[in-house]
Amino acid sequence: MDMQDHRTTRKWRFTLGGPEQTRELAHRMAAPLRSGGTIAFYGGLGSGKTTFIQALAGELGCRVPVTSPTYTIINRYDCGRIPIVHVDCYRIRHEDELWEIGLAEMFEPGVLVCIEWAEHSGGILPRRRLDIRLESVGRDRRKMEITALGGLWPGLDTLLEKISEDQ
Amino acid sequence: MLTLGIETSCDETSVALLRDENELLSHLVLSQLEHERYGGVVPELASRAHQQALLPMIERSLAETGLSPANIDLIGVTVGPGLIGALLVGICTAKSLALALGRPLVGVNHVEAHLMANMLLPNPPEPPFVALLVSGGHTLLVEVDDWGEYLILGRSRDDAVGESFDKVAKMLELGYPGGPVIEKAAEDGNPSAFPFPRPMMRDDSLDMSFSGLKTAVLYETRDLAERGGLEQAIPDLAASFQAAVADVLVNKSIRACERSGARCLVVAGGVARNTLLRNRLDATGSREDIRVIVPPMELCTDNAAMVARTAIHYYRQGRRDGLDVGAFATGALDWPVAK
Repeated sequence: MDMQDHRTTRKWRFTLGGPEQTRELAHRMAAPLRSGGTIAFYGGLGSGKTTFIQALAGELGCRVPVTSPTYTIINRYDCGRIPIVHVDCYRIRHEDELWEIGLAEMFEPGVLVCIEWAEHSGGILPRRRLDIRLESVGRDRRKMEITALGGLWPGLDTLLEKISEDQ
Repeated sequence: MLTLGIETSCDETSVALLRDENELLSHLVLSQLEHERYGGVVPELASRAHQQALLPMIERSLAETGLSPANIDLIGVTVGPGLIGALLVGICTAKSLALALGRPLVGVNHVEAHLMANMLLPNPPEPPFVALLVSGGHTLLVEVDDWGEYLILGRSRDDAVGESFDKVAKMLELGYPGGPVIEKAAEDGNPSAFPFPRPMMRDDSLDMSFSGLKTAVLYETRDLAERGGLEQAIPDLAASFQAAVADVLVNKSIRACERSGARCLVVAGGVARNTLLRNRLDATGSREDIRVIVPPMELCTDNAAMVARTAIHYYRQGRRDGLDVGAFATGALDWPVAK
């Protein structure tokens, strides 16, 4: 079991060929996600954040369509293996707004919180989390950088090592 | 019978006084234009602005009509879906009034209210009909079998239409809200200049997808910025994007009518304001012998008249909500439409 303390930081980098490969990676990464935690997504419009989360939620057994939470800010799905809270900070301009709308209360144990536009979330994110940076670098080419901050899901590090070797 | 309707689910604060079923005595809508500066609805700002505006608007509505709070017989309020913080402002106000005046309260589903807004028309559509609801937060095709009986035929699987207008407007640096600025930029543009995708258009299902279209516009915009010539291409980009959206919406709406056997299509939500969409629907509707209804804009966008109309409808059926009624963020027609 790869249990690092919260100061340990590991990084992986991938190149993805478009939405299909983004979905495929999300499907593979769903396997070790057997408990709650936080995944923060960084990257501009059209870089694949929502696509990744949709595929992840689908693989975790969520059967209702996961749609963009840009307007509602926070969507919660209780239909899969673990409850998923899908947050979009696209419209957030001040971190205070996230406290006001109650995001802090969403970080419950046992809940998987996926936050898009984490650039706008300021200091509200838990220190122990997975950061996913997506960048669209041309038509159907995306760069992805995954940073694990602290000990997260057992088996995730091993899986990410394996995926980066496969590339 | 006087119904007070209150709507605060997103960025519009709205208050309506409805006498009996159809006589709209007063209807005030305050669009929170400060959102423009931030490129969208900022939830916390929305809540504050609702909170400042709502009671003065109710007072003004009553003053305009020469009525007093004691004349209110029923209070209807939007309880979701929407921004929780914004909804709570309307709900708390409605509950306080209900308690203070000793009057019944009916919680209203915002999406259903958009459909029931049509009951206020002089010549309302008769169920069964198909409704296309297109706004910043919603993209839905609904079969209305009867008032209160709905079947969702299709929905966007990712971005809402209004949201894709806003995001494309942001990419093209046109401002906010996206709908009107894209329409204006598209006036001198060639809608066939860029062959943007029409995602899922030929697909069997009536679901829609707008995320891939947004990405296609992004790629094109980025290429043009690198090559030079983005500035001159903006009208063509806007026109081509708009044409792709209209194609998908017209195609799916007409197929929804065919599938459900409805001869009438009603369009609601802020995107109904788009001239190209309306013209295309009118043209296709008259060719296919389908009556297309686009209610006047004040009933199409978020408003309290539709909330009051929905509240009185359910009140007549005996529904009363308790002071413990809560807000909900998501779920199109799931609550309180329990059929």
